[in-house]
Amino acid sequence: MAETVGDAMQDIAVTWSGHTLDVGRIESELDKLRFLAAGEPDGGEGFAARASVLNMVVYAEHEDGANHAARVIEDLAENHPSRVLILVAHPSDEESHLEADLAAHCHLGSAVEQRVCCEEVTLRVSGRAARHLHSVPIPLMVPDLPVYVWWTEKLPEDEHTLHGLLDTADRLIIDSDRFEDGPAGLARLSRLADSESTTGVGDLNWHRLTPFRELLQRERRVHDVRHHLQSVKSVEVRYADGHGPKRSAQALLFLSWLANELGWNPSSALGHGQNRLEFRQDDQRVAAFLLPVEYPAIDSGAIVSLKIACRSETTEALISISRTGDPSHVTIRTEHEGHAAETSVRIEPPQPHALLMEELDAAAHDSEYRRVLEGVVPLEHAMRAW
Amino acid sequence: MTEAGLLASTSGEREMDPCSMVIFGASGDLARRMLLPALYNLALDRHLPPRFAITGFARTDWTDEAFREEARKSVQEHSRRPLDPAVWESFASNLHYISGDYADATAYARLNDKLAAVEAAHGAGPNCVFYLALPPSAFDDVISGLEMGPHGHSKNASGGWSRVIVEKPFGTDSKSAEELDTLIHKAFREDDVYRIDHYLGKETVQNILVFRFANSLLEPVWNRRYIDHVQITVAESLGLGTRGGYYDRSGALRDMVQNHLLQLLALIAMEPPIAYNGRSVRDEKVKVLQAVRPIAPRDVRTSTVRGQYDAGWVAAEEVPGYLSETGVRSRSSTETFVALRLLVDSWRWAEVPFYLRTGKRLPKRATEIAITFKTMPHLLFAEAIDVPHLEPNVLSMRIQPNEGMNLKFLTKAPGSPLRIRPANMDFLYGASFLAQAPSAYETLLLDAFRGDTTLFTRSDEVNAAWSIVEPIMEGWANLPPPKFPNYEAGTWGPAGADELIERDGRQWRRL
Repeated sequence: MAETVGDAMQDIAVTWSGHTLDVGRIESELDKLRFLAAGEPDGGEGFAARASVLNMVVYAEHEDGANHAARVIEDLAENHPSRVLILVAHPSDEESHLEADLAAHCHLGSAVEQRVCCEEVTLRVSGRAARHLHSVPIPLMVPDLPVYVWWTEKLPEDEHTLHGLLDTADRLIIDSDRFEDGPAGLARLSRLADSESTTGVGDLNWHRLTPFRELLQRERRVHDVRHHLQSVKSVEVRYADGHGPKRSAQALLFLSWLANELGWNPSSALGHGQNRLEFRQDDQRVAAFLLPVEYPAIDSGAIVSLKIACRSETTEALISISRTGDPSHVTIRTEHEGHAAETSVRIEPPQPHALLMEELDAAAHDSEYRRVLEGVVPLEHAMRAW
Repeated sequence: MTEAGLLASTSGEREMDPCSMVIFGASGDLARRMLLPALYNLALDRHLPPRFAITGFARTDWTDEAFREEARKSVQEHSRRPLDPAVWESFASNLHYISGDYADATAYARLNDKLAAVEAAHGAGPNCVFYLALPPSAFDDVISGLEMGPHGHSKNASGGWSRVIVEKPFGTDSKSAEELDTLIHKAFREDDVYRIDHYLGKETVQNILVFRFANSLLEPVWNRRYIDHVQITVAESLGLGTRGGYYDRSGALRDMVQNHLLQLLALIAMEPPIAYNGRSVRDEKVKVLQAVRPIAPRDVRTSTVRGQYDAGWVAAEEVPGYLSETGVRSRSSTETFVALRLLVDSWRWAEVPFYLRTGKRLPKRATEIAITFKTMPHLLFAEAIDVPHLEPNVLSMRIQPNEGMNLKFLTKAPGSPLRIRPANMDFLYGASFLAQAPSAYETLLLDAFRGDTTLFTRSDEVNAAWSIVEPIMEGWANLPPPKFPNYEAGTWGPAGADELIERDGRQWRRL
C-alpha cells in the first residue's frame, strides 16, 4: 500500500487480483482507505461519513486509456466526490480473469472533516466475463446515485457491451473527437441516443466548443452586429487536421449548433463539391464550408477559425473568430457598415478534467446537445456527396 | 441498599446463570458454519455463561474428541476471528458429544445420562438450552424424547430452567405452524421458546430500533403525513447452493417474505414500545403485522409479482438457471423472486404503500429499507431549475452488506447558475466503528443464555405473518401456472416487478 501526500491531494492505493469479483473484500478495503484518508489508519470511533454524488463507470480497452481516465478523475474529488469504477476489458483473452486496483483520491480541505474523496476501483476483466461486462460494476455501485458511463473508446461495432452498461446508466459520456469518422460517428451516436430513451448522452467534444459558442453569444463586438445574423450568406469553419473530413466532428457539431440557433433547417442541406454544404431556407441559400487546415499547435479536430458572412439587400457584415499564433488566444473581428473592429480574447485550452467537470455539471438530459446531435444526421447524409 | 464495586455488575448487563447447551444436529451444516464459530467467538469475548458446557447430538458416530476436532476445523474455516490456541483449549474442553437416532427413545436416556455427567463435571446445571439445528420433520421425535427427560420442561426436574431454540421455517402455512407450536408447547412454555430469525440478530436491524426511538428528530415525521412510501429489498446474488431440495418446496414467499421481510416491515412500522424487552417489543410488532391488509385473491394479480431466474451473468460469473440447480424438480414452478405491495391499516400508515421485493440471482447482494419522504408542496425553484419536480429525500438503512444509514438530500451545486442536485450522506457502520460487530448468531445465542426474548419471534407473530402470506399463496394457486423462467440471472427480476411499482408512479430504488 502506497501513500503520497501532496499539497492538496492525497492518494492512497491497494492492489489485489483473483478470478471472481469479491465485492465484500473490495468494500472492506475501501473502508480501510477511508480511514487512512481520515488520518485514522487503525480505525476509531469518529463519525466516518462518505459524501458521494455519483457513480462513474469508465470503459477502456487499454491500460493507456484507463490510466488517462484515472488521471482525469483524480481532479474530480473536490466537486464530484464519487465512486469510480474503471473497467479495462480484454474480451479476446481466452481465460477469464479479474484483477482489481483500489485507490482513494482525496481533496484535502483545511480540516479532516473537509476531505472529500473519489473512491476508485480499477477492474481488469478478461475472457468471457469481459463479454458480459454489465454484470461487473453493478455490485460495486453506491445505491441510488446517478450513474455515468464514460466510454473512453470510439463507438464499438458490436454495441452489446455498451448497451449492457447503459441499462443501469443515467448518462453516457463519450468523446466524439475520438471517432475515426467524425460525421458517421456522430450520426451513429444520434441513433444510439434515440434508442436509449432513458439515458442522456453527453459528448466531451461538445464542451470544447463552449468558448466559441459563448463568444458568439456574449462577446460585446459580436453582440453589436448580431442582428446581421438573420441574413447569413456563408459560414466557414476551419479545423485543425491534415487528414480530410474524417476528423470534422467538432466543426460539424458547431455547424449544427449554428443552424439550430439561426433557424436553418438541417434537412434542407445538400452536399456541393468538396467541403461545402448548402442550406436552403425559403428562397435563401446559405453556403457552409468545413475546411481542414494545418495548425499543429492545437489538437487535431479543434476549431481554428470561424467566419460568418452576412448580406442583406442593404448591408454586408462579417464576423470572424480566429486563433492567433498562440492557440490560447483568439482574435475577434467584425466588419459592418464600413467599420472594422478587432479584439483579442484569451480562451483557456480545454483540459480533460475541465471537460469532464462541465459534462457532470450539465443537466441529466442536455436538450441543447440532443438537438444539435439530431441536426448532425442530415448534415452527415449530405456530406456523403463530397 | 445497592451493591457496589466488585459485587455490582460492571456492565449493567443481565447476569447469566450457569447452563449447559445441547445442539441437536451437531454434525450438520448449521452447527458447523454458524453455531460453533459463534460459540467460540462468545468464548473469545468471555461472554459465555460462567459455568458452561456443550453437548452435541447427531446421528454421526463421533466421540468427544472427534467432535472437538470437527469443531476446531469449523472454527478455523468460519470464525470471523482467528483461532487463539489458549482460548480454544479452554473452549474445547467444554465440548462433548453423543450419537444417536432421533427416533430412538433410548438415545434420549443416554443423552440424559451424558448431560448429567457433563453438568456435574462443569458445574453447568441445572439450566439447559436445547438448540434444534434440524429440519422440522425431526422435531416430533426430539420433542417427544425431551418431554420424557428431566430437562424437557420449562421448569425442569432439577429446579433449573430449560429453553429451546428453533430455526425457521416455522411451518409451511398457518396450520402447520400451529401444529408445530402445539408440538413444542408439549415440552416448553411459549416464554421459553426462542424462534430464531437470524436477521433480527444483525447489528443494523437492532439499530433500526435505536435509530427510530433514540433520535428525537425522526418520530415527528415517521408517519403518513411525511412519508410517501417504504421499500424493503432483500436481494441475493447467490443461487441455491446445497439447499435446492428444501428451497424447491418452499420458494421465496415462504423462505424470505414470511419471516425476514415481514420482520423488517414490523420494525419500521411498529409503534414505540413501552420498554425494550421481549414482551413490549413483540407486542408492538404483532400489532403491526395484524394491521397489514391481507391481499385479497382478486388483487393478487395487481399487488404481487413472482418470478424464477434463468441462466445469466452475475458479478462476472456465468450462472445456471433455477431449473438446472441441484435438487430442483425439472418443471418446477417455485418462485425465486417475489414483489409485493402491502398496506398497513393504522392511523400512522394509512394508504402509505410498503413495497417488498426479494429474489435470488439478482445483480448484487443487498438488504435495505428505504423510507421515501414526500416532496415539498410548493416548488420554490421551478423556474430556476427547469424540472417539474425535485427528487424526494430518502432515508435508507442498509442491513447488508456495508451496514449503515444513508440520507439523500438536495443541495445547491457550487457556482452559478442555480443548479440543484442530490447528494448522499453515507454513514457507514463498519467504517465508524472499525471493531467487528458480533455475528447475528453470537447476539442471539447470548440473548438466549440471558433469557432475553426481544430479538426472537413469538408464536403470535408467526401466525400474524402467515395470515399475510397465506392469501397470496391461495391467490397464486387459483391463477394459471406462471410462465417461468421469467427473469435473467443478474437482472432485478421480472418486468412485472417494475410495473407493480410504476403503476403507482414510483420506481424501485437502484441498489
